[in-house]
Amino acid sequence: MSASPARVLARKDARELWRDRRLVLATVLTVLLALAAVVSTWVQVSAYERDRLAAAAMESDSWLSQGPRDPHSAAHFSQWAFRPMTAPGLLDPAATAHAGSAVWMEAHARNPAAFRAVEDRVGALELGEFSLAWVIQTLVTLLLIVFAAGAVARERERGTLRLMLASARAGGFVLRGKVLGLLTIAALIVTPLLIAAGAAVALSPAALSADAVVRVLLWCLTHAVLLAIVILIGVAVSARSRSSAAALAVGIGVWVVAVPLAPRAAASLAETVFPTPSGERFWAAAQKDIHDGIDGSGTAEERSATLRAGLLQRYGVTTIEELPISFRGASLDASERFSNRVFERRWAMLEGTEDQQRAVIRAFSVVSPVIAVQNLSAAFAGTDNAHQRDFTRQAEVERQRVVNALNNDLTVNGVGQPAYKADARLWRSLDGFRVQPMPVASALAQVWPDILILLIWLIGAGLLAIRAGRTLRPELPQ
Amino acid sequence: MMRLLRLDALALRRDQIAVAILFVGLLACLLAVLTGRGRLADLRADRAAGLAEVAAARSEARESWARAAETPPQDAVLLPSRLMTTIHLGEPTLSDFSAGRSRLEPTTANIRLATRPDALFARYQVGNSESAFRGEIDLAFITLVLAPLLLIGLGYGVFTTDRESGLARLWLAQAGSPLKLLAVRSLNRIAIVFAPVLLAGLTLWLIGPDMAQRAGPVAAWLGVALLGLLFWWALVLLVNSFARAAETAALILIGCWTLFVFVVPTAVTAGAGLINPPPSRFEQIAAARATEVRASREYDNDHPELSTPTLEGRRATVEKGIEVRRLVADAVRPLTERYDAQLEAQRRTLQWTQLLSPTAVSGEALAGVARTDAGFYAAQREAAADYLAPLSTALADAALGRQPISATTFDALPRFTPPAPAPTPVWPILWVAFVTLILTIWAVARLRRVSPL
Repeated sequence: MSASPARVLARKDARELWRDRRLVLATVLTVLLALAAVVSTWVQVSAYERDRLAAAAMESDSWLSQGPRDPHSAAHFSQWAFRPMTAPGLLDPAATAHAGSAVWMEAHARNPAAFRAVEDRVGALELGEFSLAWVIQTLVTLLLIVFAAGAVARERERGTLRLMLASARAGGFVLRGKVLGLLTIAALIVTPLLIAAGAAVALSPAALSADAVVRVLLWCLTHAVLLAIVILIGVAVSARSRSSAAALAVGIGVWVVAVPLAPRAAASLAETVFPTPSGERFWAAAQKDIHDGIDGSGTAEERSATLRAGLLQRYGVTTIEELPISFRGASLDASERFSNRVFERRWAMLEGTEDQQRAVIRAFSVVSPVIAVQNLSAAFAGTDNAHQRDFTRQAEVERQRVVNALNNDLTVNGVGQPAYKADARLWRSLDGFRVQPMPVASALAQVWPDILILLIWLIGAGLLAIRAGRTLRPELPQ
Repeated sequence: MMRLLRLDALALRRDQIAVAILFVGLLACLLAVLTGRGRLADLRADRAAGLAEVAAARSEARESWARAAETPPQDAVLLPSRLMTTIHLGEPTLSDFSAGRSRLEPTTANIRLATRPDALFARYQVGNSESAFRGEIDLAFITLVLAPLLLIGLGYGVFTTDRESGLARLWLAQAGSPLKLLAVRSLNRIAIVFAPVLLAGLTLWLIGPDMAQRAGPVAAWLGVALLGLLFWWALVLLVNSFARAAETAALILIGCWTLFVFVVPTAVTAGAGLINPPPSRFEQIAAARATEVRASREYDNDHPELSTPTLEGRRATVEKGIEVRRLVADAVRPLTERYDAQLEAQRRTLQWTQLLSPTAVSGEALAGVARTDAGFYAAQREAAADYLAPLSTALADAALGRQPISATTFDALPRFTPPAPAPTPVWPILWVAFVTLILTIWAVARLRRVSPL
């Protein structure tokens, strides 16, 4: 049985590319670089998880061994929540370096996650995180554009396209062969990388679960789709170009816009249209709200006076000393609940700005599928804003639970005892916070528009290639 | 020569690719100007608002200190503990040109008597990490990443195209050496790519603040940017002197661009971090807290006004707080010093390994001139940490009765002055200039005796 013309062409192309030592060298270097990126990320994640577990154990020990103490003093001392790293996070650290890794769950303030890895770096030129995702999204796409540039245009230059069109039934078969050949080459480049990444994920100190396996598969699928889009567009450009140099110029132009330029331009524009307040402004505004009040609640002094009057009336007494509860505890509790409202509002505004920025960035997916791929890659790796928010929200729920419990203890037990101290029994009841991983279904719910965008890009690129195949001519009109 | 320049310019005007490249350059620079202007305006507006708030709070606090003699002593003693001093760190000079770390680093620090050095910059991280990891468009990005590619687009066939078409044989037969024509072509092509950058730089300078003060740094910045482009053009000429076909020249140049712009800077940054890993921040937290819990057991340092209503009690609380702070600072110091040493080692490693990529060297130099590099912010943080000790001592003296709580004492509290930025090292730039010179000499030597075939 004879092979189809498309398969014959695919084999011929693969052989030709193999003979071009420049391209083989570029491929080998890319693969080596990707493997170095996997190893580098694995080392970082391993060190991070080791430090996190040690610090969490020490933190629990400090909390439990704090001895008898005023409950509100303990609320100030409080605890730290450390963000665990997920196993798929090895594939794409994405926003991790710019997001904090630990939250101090102290009284009176909903703190942002502190200690960003990016603070521990000293370079001024930030062009991406050295990771497998970066290598595939930046370098492998460029390599495929270079491979694809000559796919049809070179045949046209040599005059062999005429022969191919004569042997094959139609231009579509020629293009199919070209696409098939490039897909095979892409698979040859990417497969060892994915195997290495899979091994790294499996060996990762972060817990491996069915959820993590699904995430890894989705991550691989996302990148496979990206590479298919690149190949389809690259071959279509080559089919419409007079020479391989012209195809290369157009292809590189498209790559520059799609890969390094569009995501940055999108982020810059998003920040310009919906600016994030600086940390200094954010905290100044929150403090002002707490002091001056919100929604007609009155100033801090007025709120305190209202509370005092309300408690005296409620318990039918005339002085706070006569109250059956600790006024100090009740006052701290009321103040805490008010500041919780303020922080909820301020953080909602901040998250609203982030969502608006994400919408602007996503709109740029019209120009580049890489933006949708970045969103999906980070979501499946568990390194996007949604996962960070999930962590900080869990920490906030825990903070409120602990601080409320401590204030409640003071309110109930501190009555008539200015020097009241709680002990280890209370600390034990409030220890043991564990961050729950975000399920993949929740991650998917955040990124379905990106899945849709990527599918549209795939269909569009496919149609472009089909059209280029149908209109394929040995010579282009002058 | 002028006639040749005009003729080549005319040819470029008719070349669609050259026009497209000029258009892309102008568009990208326009975007860089808009975002740069926005970034600078944000930073300055924040600073102005912060300074106004600080002035108001300071005046209010001074008034309270001035009235301290009329206040019951057990209440007056709380004034030094409650005083919040906000310091503003030094401003970068050209954050509108090179964003560098300007969006990442703190611009202020709030200091109280109870502030510990390890918690000095604890609450400023509210940026959108998802946007941050994508980076932003600034003039430095255009100069370092986009402009070289545009230059390659204009120059990959500056000689090889003529060689392929047979034109080279014709004009080599007439003129003998291609150098004059290549010099003319070089001038026009560099001008097409650099003109938008120059225009954008001048626009940012003209619409920005402190024109006189920024004139020198702007000139230096544009000089470094031009040097970076000259390196790329030298490489373009060299590759043209070797390559037989335009496609081969394009492939080699794209390979070099990928290597110098993306691979080397990203890999050496990751490598510098891996070789010199800073001690875990978690370790720092754990050490500070273990010390704090040991030192402050059975003591309430957070609300002395609620738990200890007497003058002596409150002074004892302040004293205990100072002691706890000292112990925590002592416990954290080895880790902090190790952290600083590792970061310094990272900086040194990066400085040497970056020499592999002239783009990385230029990027660091541009950030250095703009004062948005890591060194500038490290010096600011260090100065803020150094300011903590004298301020705490002065506040403690007032709280413990060693100095009267009065307007005079308030006025005598130490003030923070941002440190003068260290001069930007020149040798990395000299290195780029040296490499450029070598490449140019080599290219000229080869092109002087180039074959038309």
